[in-house]
Amino acid sequence: MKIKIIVLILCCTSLGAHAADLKAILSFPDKFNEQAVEIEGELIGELLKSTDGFWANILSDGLGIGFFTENKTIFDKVSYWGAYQIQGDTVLASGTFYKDCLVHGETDIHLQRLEVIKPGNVEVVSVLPFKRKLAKIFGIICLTLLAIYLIKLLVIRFKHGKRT
Amino acid sequence: MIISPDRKDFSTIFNILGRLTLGLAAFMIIPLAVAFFKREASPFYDFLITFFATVSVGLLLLILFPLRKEASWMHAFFTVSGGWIVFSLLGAIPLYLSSHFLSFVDAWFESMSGFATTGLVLVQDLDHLSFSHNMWRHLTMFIGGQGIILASLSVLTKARGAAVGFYIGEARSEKILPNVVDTARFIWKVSFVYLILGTIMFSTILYFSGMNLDKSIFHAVWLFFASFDTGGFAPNAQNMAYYHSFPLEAAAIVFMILGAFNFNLHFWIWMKSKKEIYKNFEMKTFFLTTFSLTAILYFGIKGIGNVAMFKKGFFQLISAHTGCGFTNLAWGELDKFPPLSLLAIIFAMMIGGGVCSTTGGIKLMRVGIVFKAIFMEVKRWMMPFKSVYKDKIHHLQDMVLSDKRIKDAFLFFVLFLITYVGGGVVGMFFGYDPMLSLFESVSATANVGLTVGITAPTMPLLLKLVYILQMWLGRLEFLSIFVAIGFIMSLFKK
Amino acid sequence: MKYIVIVGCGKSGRELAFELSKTDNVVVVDRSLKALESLGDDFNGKKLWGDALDINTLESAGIKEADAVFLLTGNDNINLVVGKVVKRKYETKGVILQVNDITKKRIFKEEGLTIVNRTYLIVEVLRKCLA
Repeated sequence: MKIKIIVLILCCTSLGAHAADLKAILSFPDKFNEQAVEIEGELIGELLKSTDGFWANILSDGLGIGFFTENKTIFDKVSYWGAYQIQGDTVLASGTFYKDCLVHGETDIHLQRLEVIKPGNVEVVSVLPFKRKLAKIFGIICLTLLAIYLIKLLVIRFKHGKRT
Repeated sequence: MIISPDRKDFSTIFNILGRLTLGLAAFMIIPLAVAFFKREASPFYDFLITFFATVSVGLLLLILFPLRKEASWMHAFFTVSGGWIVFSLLGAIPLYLSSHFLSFVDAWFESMSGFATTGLVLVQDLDHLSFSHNMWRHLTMFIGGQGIILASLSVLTKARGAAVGFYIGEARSEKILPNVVDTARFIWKVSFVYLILGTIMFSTILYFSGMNLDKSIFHAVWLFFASFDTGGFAPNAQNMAYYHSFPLEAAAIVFMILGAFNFNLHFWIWMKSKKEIYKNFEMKTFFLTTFSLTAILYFGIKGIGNVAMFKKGFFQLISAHTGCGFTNLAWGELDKFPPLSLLAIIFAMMIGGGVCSTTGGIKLMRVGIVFKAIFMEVKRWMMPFKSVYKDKIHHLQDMVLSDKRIKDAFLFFVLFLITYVGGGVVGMFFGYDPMLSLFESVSATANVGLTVGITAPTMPLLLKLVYILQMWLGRLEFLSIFVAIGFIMSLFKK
Repeated sequence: MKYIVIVGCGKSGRELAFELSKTDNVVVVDRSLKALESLGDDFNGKKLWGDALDINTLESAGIKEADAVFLLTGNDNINLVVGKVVKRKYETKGVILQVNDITKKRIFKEEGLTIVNRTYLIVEVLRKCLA
């Protein structure tokens, strides 16, 4: 029994060591260099094509990182990529982290596995009522001032006309 | 002789400010239209509110302050200094309403960063920001880069000397054509041509990397504004690193360098002699500094494969030197650069680009003159007493390096240096690392935009305000602001 | 916008410079620094300190692109010499010069230059006042 518990704890901690958060990885790049990592985050933007493969950017904890893969089909199961009013799919992406990837010359992760945890969705941002009110108020102020200004101009022109 | 302003002077200043504010409102129609066509309802209202508010402010100024005196030099300086503050505050409104900023000060910071073509960001969740808000962020760089003043030159037909004052108040003390209005027209034309070229180049690269057409064009225009106006904003939290595209970075380098060069040089090369590239003093200084600083930087980060060295090192250095601020590095990477390489980047930022360009910093011309003057002085000591030695530099034409020129160069050199170091000390006061504080301070003052992580919503409020101040001082090159302060002080002396 | 070079920043030169700088590109050349400074710091044109008899000065002033050159140095001989050189060498379209000596008028006419004589102008205007 004791052995089973110890094995279970070891498994959990080892799992924990892989699913580190992006902030930790980027704060200690040397420690994670060329290690297998697992990141949970939102897919954003789109799948980008380059000369030797494809790139996908994942946003995790407010930070972004690029994942590289030669196999485009991994992304076939993805339904949403994050953008304005669109929450992208939340994915669990695992791969090898490179602090200075010799092939690409940048900090990247070479993707091995992608799992969609939660599909994304469209989130329409509704117009807050106070904005409609403000728009109306400022609109009226603006038109009023415009009227005053035009009247002033006409008065000046009239006065000037009278003098000459 | 101290300038004593009277009520008529203030009336004139605020009147012109009113006109400029209306000009700003006109620019706001662009993001408004984007929101309309892209069916972004909430942003539409954000810009509608701001548009009405801006027009109201402009009209209010025009109504309350009629044009009493002929606008002149002094008015121009005051208007330019004040204009930047007014514009950045108004420009912050749509940003704050977007809910992507933790406070209004953060939105003001971002707005000032845009108008000052800096590029330091406090925006949250940039990858989910609307098209229209992104349009506005990048438009502020265009407005600030080409100068609020250039737009006003078209508006200001009455003022005779004022037009010149505005131009100089804008830190562009070289005239391209004798008539300032013609100079302004030329700058607009050149910028427009480059805009078309840049949009085509960038959008082609993006389209072929899989981005859909209309997003490619938007990103292309935004990246053009950010590179040519050496601003450095990008529509992504990862900045240029998002694209993972070497061709895009190369194209960005081209436009960053174009934007960092003296508009006079553009004029000369287009209209007169292409050979000027080899003879020009600023160009020569640029080659020298870029070469030596890149060498120092590489020496610091030795041990990485060639591709990495070129991308990271060279791109960052050009981005720093031209005052753009684009980065292709990951979060947290820049502050882990070896100190020697970081120092090279700091020096590149301090120097900046050409005079009369969209870049900030001490400027190539002045740095070149300072070093040449020191060199000349050393030579003078080694020559027999009675010999008169006056050196020449070639900048479009051969010019004598007069004592006045040398004095002016040293003056700005010192002013910038004091601000650079001052801001660094303030950062240290808040507990940040000295080297990193200096870096961030230089980045703000020279309007670069590279960050080592200090700029964040969690940074102390006072530090945010200090950086806003530094961005403002750097963009207007101190002179306008000092004249304006002198103006105000003379009021109190009465 | 036209490109205009004014040689001589005396009373006429200065006033002309101010007027033209509102709408055109103006470069003012004068041997005297003081005369140029009288234009003010906010002059909307270029000031060139040099001798108009020196070809280099003229070329720095942009004589090659000039649409018109005004020679108002106050010295008839200089005006004539520079005017002829400019017309012959650079084929500038408008070469206008001011003379004081009324007898020289006839000599200048054939060179393709436009001469303005101050005394003559005043006489003409006064005559018209009579009518």
